[in-house]
Amino acid sequence: MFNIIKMDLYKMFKSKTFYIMSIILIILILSFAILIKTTLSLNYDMAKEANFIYSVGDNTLNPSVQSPEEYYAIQKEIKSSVTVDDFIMIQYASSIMLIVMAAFIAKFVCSEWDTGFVKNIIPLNGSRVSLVVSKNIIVLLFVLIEGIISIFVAMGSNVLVSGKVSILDFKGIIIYIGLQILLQMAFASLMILISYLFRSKSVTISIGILLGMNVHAMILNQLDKLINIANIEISNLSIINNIRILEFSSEPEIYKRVIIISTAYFLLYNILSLFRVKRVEVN
Amino acid sequence: MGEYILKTENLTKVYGTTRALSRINIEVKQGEIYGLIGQNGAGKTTLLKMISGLGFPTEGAVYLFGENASTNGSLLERIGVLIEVPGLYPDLRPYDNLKLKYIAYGMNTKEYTQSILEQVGLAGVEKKKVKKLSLGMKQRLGIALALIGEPDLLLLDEPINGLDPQGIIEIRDMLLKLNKEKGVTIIISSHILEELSKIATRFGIIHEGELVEEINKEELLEKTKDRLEITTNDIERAVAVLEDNLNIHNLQVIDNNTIYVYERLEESGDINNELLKCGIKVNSLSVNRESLEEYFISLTGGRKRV
Repeated sequence: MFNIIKMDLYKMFKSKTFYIMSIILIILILSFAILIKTTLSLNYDMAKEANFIYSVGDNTLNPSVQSPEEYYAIQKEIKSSVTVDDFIMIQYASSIMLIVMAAFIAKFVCSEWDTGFVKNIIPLNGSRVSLVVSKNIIVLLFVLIEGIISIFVAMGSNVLVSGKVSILDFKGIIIYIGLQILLQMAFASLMILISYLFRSKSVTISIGILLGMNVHAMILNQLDKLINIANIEISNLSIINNIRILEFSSEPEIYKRVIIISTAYFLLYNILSLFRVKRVEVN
Repeated sequence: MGEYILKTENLTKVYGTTRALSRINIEVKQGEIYGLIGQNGAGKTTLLKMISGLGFPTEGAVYLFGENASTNGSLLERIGVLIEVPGLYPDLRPYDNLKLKYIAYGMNTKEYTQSILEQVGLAGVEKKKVKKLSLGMKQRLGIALALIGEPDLLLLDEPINGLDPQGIIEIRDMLLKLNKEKGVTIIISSHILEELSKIATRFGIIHEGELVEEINKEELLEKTKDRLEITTNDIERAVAVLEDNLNIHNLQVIDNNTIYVYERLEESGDINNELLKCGIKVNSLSVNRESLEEYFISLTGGRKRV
């Protein structure tokens, strides 16, 4: 098993996919900062026309702001109040990290099958199990690297918007990223399963994008309206919903739910992947 | 069972309603080069997949090195495979593709990688990306990958596909060298039957999922013995002259113009003279041997593509 993990690590760092996905991720999450900076720097008249005049503290429209001076003073205050914490939360809640990860998994896992390289490995004793375990380790590494990129890009974004690095709650960031990594790994195990089921990059990426964009939320919300069992909301059991609703100072119950849900999904999807890979015939 | 490196027992594979393999029993001894012959879709690739663990039989068993392969997974590690297309990452270099398999097999010998590339005639292209290699080069690289781990049994499905004549000779020599010097047992399928006949020591003929015949080279040579091929426009009189005047009875009329004679081949000049003396014009007369392809067609019935 250790050798298969080493092989996958070699492949990960030798192939362009890893570097391309990392660059795409940096560009996409950095675009949030550019967007925020642009929005906060809007010309007063344009801002008023576009209903972009916001009060400090929350994002509700504030028609009481009348003069450009007052507007710009508020803009400056908003800029200076933006922290690294905010950017990290935007990055994770936006699903961009999920979609980039889904693309990486689709390419990494499916290429092994569509190139036929897996034929060289399957004769190894225990290789079918090792392949699944190894993919999880590679994806964990990718998610950790995503997390590090997220922190650095959030710091850069903070400098871009407010000219300084401001961290409100360092411990909170660590807990938040830790829980997000758990949820991301649960989502990753689903994407690995989909890769093994379809062995097609395009199908896996398409499903990854749809799930990442939370398209299934509509169905879950309808189910919530139809079924009401012991006050359990089905949508609360969704990985994506939990990724989106998780905050820095969420209730302990939410933290607990995230840990249980992500662990359960991670185990379930990996068991299904193992069943699939152990039974699949190599074409 | 000890002398056999591979033995299959009633190996059967069913896909839905299609029976791809039906109760196949083959035996391959250590050191043999076993040629697998069959038309497209006959079941050759399916059989190789079942042996290598890439597929699962519906019924039956595969015995490798005297043990049931389904109960001892490590036996498959002694097999090198090249089935259908070479499994290569197109965006990586040949060296990296080889290294990936080395790592998976717990080996890490840079010199060995170089020597294996030289062995298959790929030295000098190791820095090119695989997608920039020709089809023949990819095929050689596929064979190189199959050789990693120093397998005792090599399963090669159409390994000379896409190779030029020089490449075919090089691969043939390489396989013969591996077989002779390292004692590697090889199972090879190819639709170029004449090429197969040059290296295989034993043949298995598969037709519509069934093993029609297993035959060794000596038996095949006996069955595909030399013959005198006579072509003439007067076939009936020619047969009469051969039988009545020359007392030749071991002959076969192939078509309206061709007769095969299987005796007195060393007297071809006398036969020709006798036919001419009787006023029969002989268009051609030559001593030939039945090819493996012709033998295969006679067994499976019909001139189909193999």
